[in-house]
Amino acid sequence: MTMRRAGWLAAGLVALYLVLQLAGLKQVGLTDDDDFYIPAGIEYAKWLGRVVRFDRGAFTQQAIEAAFSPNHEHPPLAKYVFGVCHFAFGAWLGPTDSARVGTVLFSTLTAALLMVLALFHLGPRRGLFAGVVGVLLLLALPRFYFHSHAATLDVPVAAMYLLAATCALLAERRGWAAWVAGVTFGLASATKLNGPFLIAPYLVFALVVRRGTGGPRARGLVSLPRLPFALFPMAVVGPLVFLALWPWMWFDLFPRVGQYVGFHLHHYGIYFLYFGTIYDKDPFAPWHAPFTMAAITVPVATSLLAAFGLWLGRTAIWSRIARPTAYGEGYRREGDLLLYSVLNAAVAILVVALSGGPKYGGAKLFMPFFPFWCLLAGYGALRLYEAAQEALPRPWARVVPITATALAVVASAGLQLRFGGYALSEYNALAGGLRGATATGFERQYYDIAFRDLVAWLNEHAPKNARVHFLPNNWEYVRTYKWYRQGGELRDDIQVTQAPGQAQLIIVTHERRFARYGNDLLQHRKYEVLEEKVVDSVPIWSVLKVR
Amino acid sequence: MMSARAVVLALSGLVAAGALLDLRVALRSDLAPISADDMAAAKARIEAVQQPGDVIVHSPLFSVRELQGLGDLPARPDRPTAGVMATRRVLVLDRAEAQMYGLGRPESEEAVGEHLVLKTYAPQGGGVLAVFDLLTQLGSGMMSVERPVGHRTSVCTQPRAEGGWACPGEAEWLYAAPRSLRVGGQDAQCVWAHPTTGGAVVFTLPAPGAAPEGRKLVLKLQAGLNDDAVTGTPDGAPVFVAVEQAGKDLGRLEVPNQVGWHRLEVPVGPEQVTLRITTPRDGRRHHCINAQIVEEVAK
Repeated sequence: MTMRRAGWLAAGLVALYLVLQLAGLKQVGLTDDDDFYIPAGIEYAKWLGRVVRFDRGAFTQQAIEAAFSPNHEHPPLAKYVFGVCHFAFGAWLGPTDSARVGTVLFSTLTAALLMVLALFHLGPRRGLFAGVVGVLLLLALPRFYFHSHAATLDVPVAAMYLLAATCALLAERRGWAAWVAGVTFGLASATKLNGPFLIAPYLVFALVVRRGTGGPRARGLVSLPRLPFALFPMAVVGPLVFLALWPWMWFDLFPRVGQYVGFHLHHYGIYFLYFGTIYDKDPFAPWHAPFTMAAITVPVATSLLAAFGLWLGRTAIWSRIARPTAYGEGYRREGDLLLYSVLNAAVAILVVALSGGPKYGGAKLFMPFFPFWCLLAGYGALRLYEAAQEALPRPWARVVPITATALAVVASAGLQLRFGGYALSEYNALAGGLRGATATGFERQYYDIAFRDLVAWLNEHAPKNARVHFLPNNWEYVRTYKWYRQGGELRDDIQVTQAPGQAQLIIVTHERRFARYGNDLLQHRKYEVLEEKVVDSVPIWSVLKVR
Repeated sequence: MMSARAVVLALSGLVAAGALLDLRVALRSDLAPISADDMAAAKARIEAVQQPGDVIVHSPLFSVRELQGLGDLPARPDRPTAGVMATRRVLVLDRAEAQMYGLGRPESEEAVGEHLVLKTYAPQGGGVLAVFDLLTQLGSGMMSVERPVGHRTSVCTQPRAEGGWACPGEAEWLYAAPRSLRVGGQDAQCVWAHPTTGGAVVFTLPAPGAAPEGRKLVLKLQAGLNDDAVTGTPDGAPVFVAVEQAGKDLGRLEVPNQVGWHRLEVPVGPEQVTLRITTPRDGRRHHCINAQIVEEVAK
């Protein structure tokens, strides 16, 4: 297997990944965040249009404030992409799904980077094996698949974080990559707040693998390792790229940087149901909530493969920690990949666990964790296969590990197909599936998803001029349903009303994290049920005829 | 020390087992729906064993269609807090195949039909038993309006679309219903009790009956204003809740224009208890109360 051939095969897989992601666009309902980021993206892209037309007026403070005021609490990179995609694909896909192509592209970039990391560090044959399994497991990861279709910042930052991390790691062996790492670190920072946290695992990694390489000025008792060159562009070029991409910061830099940081330090409460308790304010949820959510939402076999990958690769990891200058280049690369992946996976999830901020939805906020975890799972599958070659006779040496790995991919895909557009309701077997998780006290859905099959049902069955009200959190559906109407997906005469007293149809979405839900259900269960969506024996939404 | 072969087989087996467990979740069919007959039987059974002050909880897995079989039974899917579990008897109607977690060991458990189980949890807090709870037992006609104070002009019996009861002839914001308000920085469930200038809002709690020997009845009252109503109305007037029984004043709780709950505990007798709520100015007095009559050991 040559690297060129492996590269083509990897490119084919990434193309398949893109096609399968695009195929899901019309399946995933709008989330409450889509209405924040898509309109902002449209404004940002309009401003970009003025820039590329060399319109000098675009650079006035007034023009910039007008364009970048929407959603100015988050950096702009992903929103530029949403806006450009909205204008590029709007005629075919409508106003929202066109923008969401941007998220699919970010997700596809993630798959491509997994292949790059695997091929570069494990070689063409082994890298192709680990990369293919990692990408397939990522593709079949239900919650990541859902977020890969929402015009929000979580998968984009997972992709840009991985891009910057990849460049920084490549810079260990390719000088040019150090400068690219600086630029991509700025891009990741300009995507979402998770981006800058890359510096922590990178610094730890760089210091560990340089232990004993004391820099030329190291003197005295402590010999400091030589710092990697990539740190310089990351520290200097990165912030410049961040600021260059975000004109909102240009005219009032320090107060607005302060506002940006302050917004996240003092984030408003977001309800989170965890083991039957509703958390809505500081400390929002116990530190272990993200770990628990990862454990019960990532398919079991995927996590087992990742864990086995770490265990089977422990020698390679330890070699980089204990004797960083020993061993051959191939083994060092393998150790680097594993050590770097586990550090990044850990930091991505620890940041959410220890930050004291809201744990919204449990898994949404640590999307950068998942690509690293799937890469480790791919490596686990590779090492299992290699161990079987030495330990088992033919044909079992191939049959056993490949069957186990294929089952892992099939099971993950099975969960994804079972939950489909309801992927945020997916829980694995450790939680007993959705029904077990709901009975245990986890939330059955979040993100106020405007499910598309509900929209289709309303189009077909709602009375003329129907007024619809959602319980317990109507406002978010006012925001998302207007997009469906604008895109021609919802009948013109159907409206979501803020006044429950005016509604003919009440739709209960059964979200227990809202304290009023119990009373809402008690008061409305007497009405005729026109339609009810039940997934894995758990009601997700119920349409009630109230007049 | 395991051989390499055993390690490979064990790891592969674990991966395959994990995958098969997830595949089972992916491929399994939904649980059988609860029949209307089973739900009706469960309702009848709960009503047969229900005591004043009991909290009734149902599985969060029940669909609305299934819940309709419970009729007007005041059951909710909210998991009781530790405080409720400590002081109240809790009846849990659960799905036999996927039972709620974290409630501890029930005092008794019985099957109802094929797919339901009714579990009873005794209060764990040292013999305190709630015999009346306004929030869960609020009923039609329990609230009335006096205008002026002492002259009843409206009894709140008119069902509201949003739940609870409106008071005929009075403003639409005068009504009796459970609400979720933010009080003291936390969302809380309580009974809406907006006072009215020049009149009184009156809650009449049913007679709890005499406590057995060695035990006594205590009214536990808490009242508060919605946080926004306090912070947005710096000159907001105080609200007063007077407790009366058999023509006697038992106490008065003043709710100043401050964030947070205010509490009063008074011993009560077996007769009806009246809570009379007044204010000099009713502007943005988004006020709500919780009232429990509990039976506890007499000291």
